[in-house]
Amino acid sequence: MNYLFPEIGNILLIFAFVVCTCFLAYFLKYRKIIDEVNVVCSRVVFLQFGLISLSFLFLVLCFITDDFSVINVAQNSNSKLPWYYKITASWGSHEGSILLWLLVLNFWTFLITIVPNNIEKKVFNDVIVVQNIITLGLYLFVLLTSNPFDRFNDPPFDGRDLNPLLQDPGMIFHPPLLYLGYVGFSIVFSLAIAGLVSGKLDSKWARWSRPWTILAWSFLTFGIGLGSWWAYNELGWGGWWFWDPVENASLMPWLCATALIHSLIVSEKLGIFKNWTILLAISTFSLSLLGTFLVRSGVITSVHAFASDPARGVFILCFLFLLVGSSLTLYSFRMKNVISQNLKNFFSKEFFLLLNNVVMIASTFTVLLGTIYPIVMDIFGLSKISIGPPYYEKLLAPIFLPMFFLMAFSILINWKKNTLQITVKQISKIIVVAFIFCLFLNLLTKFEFNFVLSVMLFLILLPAISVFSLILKPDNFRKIKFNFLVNKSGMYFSHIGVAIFAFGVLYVNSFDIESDSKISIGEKINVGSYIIKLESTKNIKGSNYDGIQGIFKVNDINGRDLGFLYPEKRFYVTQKTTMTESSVKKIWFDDLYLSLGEQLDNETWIIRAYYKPFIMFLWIGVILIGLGGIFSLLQYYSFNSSTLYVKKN
Amino acid sequence: MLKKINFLFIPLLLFCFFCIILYRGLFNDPKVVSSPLLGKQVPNISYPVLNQAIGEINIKDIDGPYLINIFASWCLPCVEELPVLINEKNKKRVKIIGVNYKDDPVNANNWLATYGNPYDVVLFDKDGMKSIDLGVYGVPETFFIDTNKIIKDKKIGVLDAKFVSDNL
Amino acid sequence: MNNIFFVLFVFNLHSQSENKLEIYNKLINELRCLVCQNQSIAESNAPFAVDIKNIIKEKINNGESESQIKNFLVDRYSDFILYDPPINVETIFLWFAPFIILIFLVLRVFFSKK
Repeated sequence: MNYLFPEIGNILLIFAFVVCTCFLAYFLKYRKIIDEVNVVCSRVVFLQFGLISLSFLFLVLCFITDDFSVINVAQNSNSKLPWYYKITASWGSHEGSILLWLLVLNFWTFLITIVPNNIEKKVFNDVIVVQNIITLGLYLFVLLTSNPFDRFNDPPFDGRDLNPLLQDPGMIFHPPLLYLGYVGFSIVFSLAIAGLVSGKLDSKWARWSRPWTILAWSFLTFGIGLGSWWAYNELGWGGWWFWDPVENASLMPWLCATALIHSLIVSEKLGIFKNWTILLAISTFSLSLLGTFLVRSGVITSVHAFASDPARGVFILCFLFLLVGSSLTLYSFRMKNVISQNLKNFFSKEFFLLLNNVVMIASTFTVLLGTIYPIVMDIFGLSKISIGPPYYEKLLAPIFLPMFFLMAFSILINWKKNTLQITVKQISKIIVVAFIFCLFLNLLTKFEFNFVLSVMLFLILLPAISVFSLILKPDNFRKIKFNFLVNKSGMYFSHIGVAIFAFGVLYVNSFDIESDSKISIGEKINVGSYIIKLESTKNIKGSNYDGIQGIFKVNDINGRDLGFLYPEKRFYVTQKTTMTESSVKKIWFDDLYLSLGEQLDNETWIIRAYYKPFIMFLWIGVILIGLGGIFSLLQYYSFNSSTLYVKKN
Repeated sequence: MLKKINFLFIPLLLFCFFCIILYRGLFNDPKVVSSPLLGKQVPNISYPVLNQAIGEINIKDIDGPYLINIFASWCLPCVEELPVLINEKNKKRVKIIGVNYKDDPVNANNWLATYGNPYDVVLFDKDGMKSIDLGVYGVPETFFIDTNKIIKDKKIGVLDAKFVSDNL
Repeated sequence: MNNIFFVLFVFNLHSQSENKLEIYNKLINELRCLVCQNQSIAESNAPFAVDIKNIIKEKINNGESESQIKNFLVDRYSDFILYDPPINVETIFLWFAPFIILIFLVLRVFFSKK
């Protein structure tokens, strides 16, 4: 019975592919009959989603039932792997993750058919068609080059086991969240194409597109944050972002999507700069696809990259070229027919938002440049260089810092007409308050912040104070309307989240402490204002590993008991790899972080300890940013006693 | 009007250019670090000889053409490339100098006895520090030194038969 | 940048002056580990990284300057070992393009007003 699972999964996948192809052929012939196509769309999408979901389910079943005749299972799982990691292993490999991509893509297409919206029928049909074209490309990719259901003729007894690095709770949610994010940008991409085809790119179009973009963006925010959090806790180096090409691959769509969201707001309210909005819509999804390409093709080196295969790389590249190439061609020819207004006022919200977009686009470009430049140099036979954190930090700091400035003011300033006087008046109030806060914080911490840090701190505080000044405005406070909260809370949360996140980064990078030391049982070391003592070590055993655990007592400098830290060194038997499990202790917003290095003898170890002050702000900030996105979706629904309905335009 | 149309085509053009770069990039291996020592004289390094208590050999004194093969008993790909080296030994086209890298002499001897010894002489770099002047950072690595004592080529990773034939 | 790193080595440390330690820390963060290519020499635990760290310590104690040490390593391992790409003719675009794009876009926004 077992051996049927992969076959069933495979057949379901093929059926879904056939449904997709037939639908596209049907559409080609009957697209003029809009109403009928509309109904067919919903059914086809539901059918495909059902088939793919079941197919994926069967893949998961293969893993759970330890079917090692399936190549994917044998390469990524093991009988001794805990069941929840067996499920995770289904998307831990290239083939499995592409099937997940396909599943998520179908999910988003399905979502747009069931969530009430008032997208015009013709546009809706076109959106579904574009989604299906993208899905078709992916079906071909899976079936022709990366089928997760491929089997061995001669199955092994047991599997190679999942990479120990991936055996962590963070990894269970990280890929699905990421995919929900950047695959979700396909919706706004399809909307853009549909808009270009119909020639109607008005406020209505922008209004349709924004919620879908925000939803995908929120998921991506959580996905990236989770990845960072996982890296920080799991990798043992105390770092949370490495400017690794794969990390950059997820950051680029995020930056571009942020620009897109703001651009959609401006296009919706004032009908201006539409060509940028459409271009951003196309670019964001293109960056998602590019990211997918980079990770699997072997073009770049990364700890995250899947096993490379030039053949697969060529396929994705062709797909990328055809899809994005045709969209950009469509853009070039059709955009001139679209009527777009021009910017009329310099001291207006739209002006600042557009400048902010410039910052986002420039930073996306910088990350892209840094990621592919080594490839460019290699191709032209120039010296082989490497681009790491120093480059990105040096270039992005001057680009990002003005953004806080712009963020603070665009929140305050009104749309359209604004005189210079009003603008200056509003801005100077914020500047003064930020300056006072800065001074206050310096006094509180006894001038820990040198001049440069103070300037950065000042800039970071600006948007936070800006947001609070709006919340605490006498009018709003007195009559806190439900509507007000619904419409604005998202924006406030997200922007405060950015400030909190930036503050955390600034503080951690400036004041963290790292210490490598040799320690024997009974000895103590000092890390910042904490004392860590190695009390004993203990042998441990997990379901698929053996190891040693160090038991460290933590006290602060005043002798207060802060509990224990238990870092481990694990040896995973199947893959024969050693892993360092670090131990992290949260003390208010700070972390005390300990990992085991080399064992020198029975009683002596080399340990690496970190003190990371205010690191919690990073995670809080990211969560707020994502939550802000989710909350801002509330404005699209009107609450009316007992029913929830979509607000009409 | 014309200006506007021109601007609109820029993204498409940039994208096409970009795709070409990525395509070419597919066939380059990013992990291989090319050596800046290619085309330069072989450096002045004196290694002790395995199993010899005294006496060192300076690679600069060796007459080309010869291969310098960096290997270790703990290195799995080194076993993979041994047949190629043994083949070369039989062809007697080039001398083959082995450098045992970051290894234990007992293990090295056992390894050579078990898998075969293709080397004319085995040199010894216990802590790997001497080989830094050759730009070594892992095993296996193989250098081709020509008759003029110039480092003509370098292979990082498992050696293939073409390496020697291409360089002769 | 604005990082203030504080690394305390307990073993193999003769009493080094503040200055030597600073140079050491700066260098190990600016060099890439060739074995674990996504980490700097500072972060990596690979034997190669340990070797390079020892060489750097030795050279600093011999009084060599930062650029001398970097050149020594680049001569043997190419520019790839520099974590921070060099600024030369080949990389000019890399360092300046972002700012050019930024300025170009800002100008576009300014000049779009009718």
